[in-house]
Amino acid sequence: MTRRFLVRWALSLLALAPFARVRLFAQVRSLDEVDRATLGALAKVALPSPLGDEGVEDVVQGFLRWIGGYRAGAEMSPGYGVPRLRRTPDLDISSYRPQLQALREGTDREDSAAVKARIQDSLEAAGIEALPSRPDGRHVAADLLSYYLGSSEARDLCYQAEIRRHTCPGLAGLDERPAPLGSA
Amino acid sequence: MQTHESDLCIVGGGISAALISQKLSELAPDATVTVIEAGDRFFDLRARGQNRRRWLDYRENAWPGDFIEDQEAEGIISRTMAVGGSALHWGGVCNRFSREDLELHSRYGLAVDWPIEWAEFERYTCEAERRLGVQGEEAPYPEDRPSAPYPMPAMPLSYNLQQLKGWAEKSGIRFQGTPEAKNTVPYDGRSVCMRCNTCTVCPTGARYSPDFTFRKLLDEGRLTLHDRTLIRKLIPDESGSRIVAARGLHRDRPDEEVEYRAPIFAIASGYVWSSHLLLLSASARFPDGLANRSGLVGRYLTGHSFVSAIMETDTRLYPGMMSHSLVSREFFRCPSDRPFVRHDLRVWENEYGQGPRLRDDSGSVLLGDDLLDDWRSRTRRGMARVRAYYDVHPARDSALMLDANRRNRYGDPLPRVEHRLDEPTRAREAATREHILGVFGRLAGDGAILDTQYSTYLDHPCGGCRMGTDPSESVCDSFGRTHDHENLFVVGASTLPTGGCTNGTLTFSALTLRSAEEIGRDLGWKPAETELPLSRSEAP
Repeated sequence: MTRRFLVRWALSLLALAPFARVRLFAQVRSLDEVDRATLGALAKVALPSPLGDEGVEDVVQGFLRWIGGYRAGAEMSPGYGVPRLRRTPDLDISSYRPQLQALREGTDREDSAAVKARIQDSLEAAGIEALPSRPDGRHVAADLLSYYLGSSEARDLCYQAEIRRHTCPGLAGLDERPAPLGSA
Repeated sequence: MQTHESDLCIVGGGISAALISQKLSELAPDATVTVIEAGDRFFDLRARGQNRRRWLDYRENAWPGDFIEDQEAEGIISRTMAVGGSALHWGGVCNRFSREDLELHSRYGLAVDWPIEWAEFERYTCEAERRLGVQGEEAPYPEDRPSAPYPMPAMPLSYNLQQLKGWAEKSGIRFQGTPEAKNTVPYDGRSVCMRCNTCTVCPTGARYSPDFTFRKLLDEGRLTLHDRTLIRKLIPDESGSRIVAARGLHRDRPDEEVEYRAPIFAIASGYVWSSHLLLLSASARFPDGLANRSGLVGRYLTGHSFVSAIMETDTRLYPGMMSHSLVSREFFRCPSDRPFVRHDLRVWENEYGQGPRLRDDSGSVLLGDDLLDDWRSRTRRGMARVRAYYDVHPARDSALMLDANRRNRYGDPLPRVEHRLDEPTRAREAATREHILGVFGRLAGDGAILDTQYSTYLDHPCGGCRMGTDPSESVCDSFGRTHDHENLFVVGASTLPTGGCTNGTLTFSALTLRSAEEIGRDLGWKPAETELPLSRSEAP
């Protein structure tokens, strides 16, 4: 029995634990290097190309931290006019591994168009209609896109301008058109 | 039973309690003040930054724990119960009411006049702007210009708002930046706005919230704050004309009753819980609750209705630059020879239908550059959100009642809120909406109006202990002193007879500051004969 197998075995036990937070932690940790490489390949196709290889890798790392930081049962933002208390639902990402394994089949030999078609088919098969507002574990690509497209960086890329939403840039320059992206 | 004594006992720890405590610490510095709040305190600015992050990342509550699990009313729109109250996470909007709000009956034969003259009220509005730290620009309409300038420079209009102002003013309606309690310069020990764009949870303290005032007073030893303490009953003396105690419990020691004794009590528990406490204080001698000889405690609950719409503009915008807006006060005034309609008009940047999406119109899954191209293609024309709050007036049976079927864990009946509008308001509803849709049409010009929404509730709710001169038609006088109990005041949103047609916080803050002077007089403060409004240049 190798050390790596032992670690995987221990983590898979943790994944069975009833505590959602522990299970989520274990599920994120159980994505091995091969899974993460597949996730990287998926991200290269699913994310916009101007991000470049380095940008895509940053997004993937941020995405894994985001998933790992999720807390089931946390109070949700009630919203004005919605006085009822609601809590964040459980997050189970056990579907990620089989989805990544299925995608892995061709990612090392197919061109990006073929990989893209594979991801699209996978999203169709999972019945994903829209991007979730928070990770819901139904599909790794949808959650990845939700993470990135909700970011200030994605908005700036879309508008090709340094809007810098939620980054607390100060009042200077507020009255001017945001600078073109990359000029600052 | 534990007993605490002070010169003034304030029940409720929101913005009204903060302002009264602050002002009394100046007028009567030797007076002891105790503030009792049922909720928790949230004074940790670092945690606020972390909570903001989790709100952005996961849409968790940015104010976790700012409520009490089983202390909620049927029909309310906000469940916040914490030191700082709803103003912990307000947007900071400080629009003023107008003279018409105070003179509805004498000008239009509608609702009631307020028992206070505009000139006097306006003076306290200026004081509230100074204490809250309000930025604003000069109003384009002379009737709206305050008697003293704002205490700090106006927030520069963002590029987006400049574009929207140009678009909106093609209608002939004039707009200005919305006045807000957000620092454009360091003020009152708080930071300048850093444009974090999450004003409901401001991580820098640039947007005023009452916790800053409380913290300062506590640091200076000028306030006693008992949080997590729920007051359940006010106790009158034998004559019934004075309140001698407030009784309740600490939520961590619910079996142990705690009593607060003071020569003066002020109920500052917001529009729901102020009325609720008075009704809950019923006894054999006062079977309908305290301060309720008129039968009007909990009645005439009000607020304002609204219509909102999303419009295409003729300009390119960059949504996300800043949470700020435009306001027009053109329709605050209504000539008395025309059908009555009064409303404000706000404009925000918006991104309706412009967010990233997984599927295009044909249902195909979008990935990579296709997704980006699709997103970009839908952002070329800026979107505006437009909203009009319009003036509606409450019926007598627009009421808060004790609901015997819903009780908190201590057995107290919880409130049930039912808003009802008076007959003239209902009769003009269709014409009001038609007028507002006409204004929206002027704004939209050739652009499309994509979505129109009508209110299903009254926003900025208030009333329940309305002020007035006639004890048979009101609960308290213009200072908030209840007609029935000489040492019992009600302050804050619940005293408003009508809810106006714009955000009410500045208005009830002004009334609260006026109440503070009356309470100060009871505590021995003597105004100088030449007493003038506090200087604008004098930071609080």
